[in-house]
Amino acid sequence: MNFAVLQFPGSNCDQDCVHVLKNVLGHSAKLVWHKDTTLGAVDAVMVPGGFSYGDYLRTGAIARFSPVMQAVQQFAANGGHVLGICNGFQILCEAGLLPGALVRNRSLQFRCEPVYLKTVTKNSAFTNKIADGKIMRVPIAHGEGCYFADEETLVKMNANGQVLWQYCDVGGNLTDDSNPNGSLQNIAGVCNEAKNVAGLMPHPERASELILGGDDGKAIFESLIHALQNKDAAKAA
Amino acid sequence: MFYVGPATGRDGLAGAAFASQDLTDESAQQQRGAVQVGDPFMEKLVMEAVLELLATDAVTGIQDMGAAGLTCSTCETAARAGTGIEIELDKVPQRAPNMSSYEIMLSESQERMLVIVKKGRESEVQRIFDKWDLPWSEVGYVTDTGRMVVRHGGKIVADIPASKLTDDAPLYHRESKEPAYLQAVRAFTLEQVPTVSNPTENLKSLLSWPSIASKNWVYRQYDHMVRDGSVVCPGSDAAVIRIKGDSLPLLPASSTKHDEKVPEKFIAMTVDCNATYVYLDPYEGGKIATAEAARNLACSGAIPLGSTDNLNFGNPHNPELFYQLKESVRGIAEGCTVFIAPVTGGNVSLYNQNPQGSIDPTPTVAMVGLIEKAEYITTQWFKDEGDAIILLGDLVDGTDPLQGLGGSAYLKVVHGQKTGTPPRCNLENEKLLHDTTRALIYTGDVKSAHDCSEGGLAVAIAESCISGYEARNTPRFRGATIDLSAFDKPRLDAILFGEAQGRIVLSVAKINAVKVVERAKLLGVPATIIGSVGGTDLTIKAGGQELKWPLVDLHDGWWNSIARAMK
Repeated sequence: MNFAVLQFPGSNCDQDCVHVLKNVLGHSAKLVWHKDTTLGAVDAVMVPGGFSYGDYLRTGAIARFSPVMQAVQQFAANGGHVLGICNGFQILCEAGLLPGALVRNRSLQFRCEPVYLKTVTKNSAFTNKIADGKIMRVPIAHGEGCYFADEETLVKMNANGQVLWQYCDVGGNLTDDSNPNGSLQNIAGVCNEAKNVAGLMPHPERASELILGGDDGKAIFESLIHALQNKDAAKAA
Repeated sequence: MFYVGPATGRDGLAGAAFASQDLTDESAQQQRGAVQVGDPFMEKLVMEAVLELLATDAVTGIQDMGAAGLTCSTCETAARAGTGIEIELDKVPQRAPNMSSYEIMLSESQERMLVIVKKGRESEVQRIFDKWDLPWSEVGYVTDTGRMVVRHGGKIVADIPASKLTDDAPLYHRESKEPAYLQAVRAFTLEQVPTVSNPTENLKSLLSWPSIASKNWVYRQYDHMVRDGSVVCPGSDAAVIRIKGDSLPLLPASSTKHDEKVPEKFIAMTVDCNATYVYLDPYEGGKIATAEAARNLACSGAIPLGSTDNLNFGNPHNPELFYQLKESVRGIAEGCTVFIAPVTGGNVSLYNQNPQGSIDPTPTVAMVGLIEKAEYITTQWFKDEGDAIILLGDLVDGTDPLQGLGGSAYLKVVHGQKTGTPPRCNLENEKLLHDTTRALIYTGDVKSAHDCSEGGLAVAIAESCISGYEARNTPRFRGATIDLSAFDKPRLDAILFGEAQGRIVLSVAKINAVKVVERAKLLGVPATIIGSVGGTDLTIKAGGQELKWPLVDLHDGWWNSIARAMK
């Protein structure tokens, strides 16, 4: 598969995404500069973590106006798959590609630590390869990761199966203690109604190799690759 | 010669000079402008652009503008290359009006770099810095005169040999006098310390003391995993970073080194200094700062590559304070020689004092080391039930009348005393211990290694029990049962909390324990099996007592005390 990894001024997980997609999973990945107006022939777009535009104004608020985001909007509108991680999730919410918003952690502090994640539904391009009942251990690193959406949106999202991951304890319980930022319903990651765009605050690219302490996060990339392969196969047929 | 990065302002003007004066209320009021204002976003852009530029092969010299700003970067670049330099200050981007030559040359505005580019390759700098929306300006050129020439407003405002500001600068030999307080320090004996009455509580107090307690409240507020290389995160003796094969950008296709990739490597890093030791014995304290750093690297499976130091002292015009500086630097130099960890650069901050007095002399030593294979990476926490626990080195230094309690954390925290001659550091023995530890790690038998430092053996063992970590709010405990009843000579407080140097606690599979002990002895290092891993408590038999701590209790104070103090 061919991945585009966006690169904004201040992106700092761009190389990590490329590393995992290429060196760990054996696919091709290229960096796409934020001033570019086209994505080229790619199967999926990754919006990586970092502090695009210095987090000025609001996290993700300026990046959404980058020329490349027009191309991403178009790509998503045509059913293309887009995954945002951390700052990428914030950018996708700001761009209106995902519902809700990410606000300041309730601790008012930046948090960098591994957390446990429960996968709510396997019925998505981003979760289909995650083992049943698997509690994933994946690091977070953010100051604005508290997920917020109004009541009506949350009800709709739950009904549509748009909540993909929730923070939990090692036993899979959705406790307040296991919620690192105060997210509503312990929400760690969501997708759009059409289920081709997703975002999450934790960093699966930091949990894709055993040498970094675990590879639970790899299943998220493998899910996406599996979905893209099926899409190709369906097109060919 | 290019100037890249944001414009020069009056902020940080003479910041290095500010850092070299006594701090008083008056100086804080007057010299706020001397404090530089950092901008991590700008720094990131400059860093990315510079990396991209370096990959073009067009750069012959580069230096960041740190202390003394343009002055330092221009004359050092010239002196290092044995050339001269001419700079035109009217071309330096400025964001404050009417700046004088002096102000432009000495401003410490952040995130600026000086880049020397091969003649004819100027357009590459322009292209890359334009891409990153960063200001740049061609401000001068390299000459062969050996002189630094500064032009401003059509006039030459400075013309001096570049080397006069760098290597040929005057050397000062300040007056030095042994501090008077050392008399009392040396007169201190163990008779002045009551026998230990509540060792169970004392261990808890030590683990909760900020110098020993977990620093997670600090490091969890910083992204310490970005770039997918943090193999051992903060919380062990040393952090370990993986340097990936593609960590440097490839050189252009025209370069003969185009295909060269960096082989994957593992780098261990640690920063250490016991300021109390340095205060009580500057020379020995300096040696110990290097020994502790090198020991932490050895415990991680690393061979030292080099060091950097950060010398924080009081006013060097005071002969007693200069003695601290001079003697501790002598100790650091000796240590770095023995451990083959050359000091590649450093940072000095003097005049750290207010009218009440000076800080404890704090020459921190940061050391990096190479771990040759991924299998050698070792962490400090105990791994499996039933493993044997081995002490490398002597439990107590027989030649130390204070049995390791001089200058100890125990004396400070429990008895409120900062005194006594600190433990001696035999650098040759230390080196042998480190080499032996690495040799044992290379055999694959060592499951954990942790150095004994502040708080002594009891703290080291407790840390190995409680510092394992899975995720948020999910520590991993491994209990231990320790029997030290064979050591009946030293005092109980010295056995538990004495800080004799040159000691490391290992854990190995039970079946390998005797083999590891024999091998260590063969290499010349004392080694004793002192217990085993298991359960949910730490139990220590010593001095005719059996002491017991549930790990949950030890962990709470150790993990949370800094967070509680910061609330």
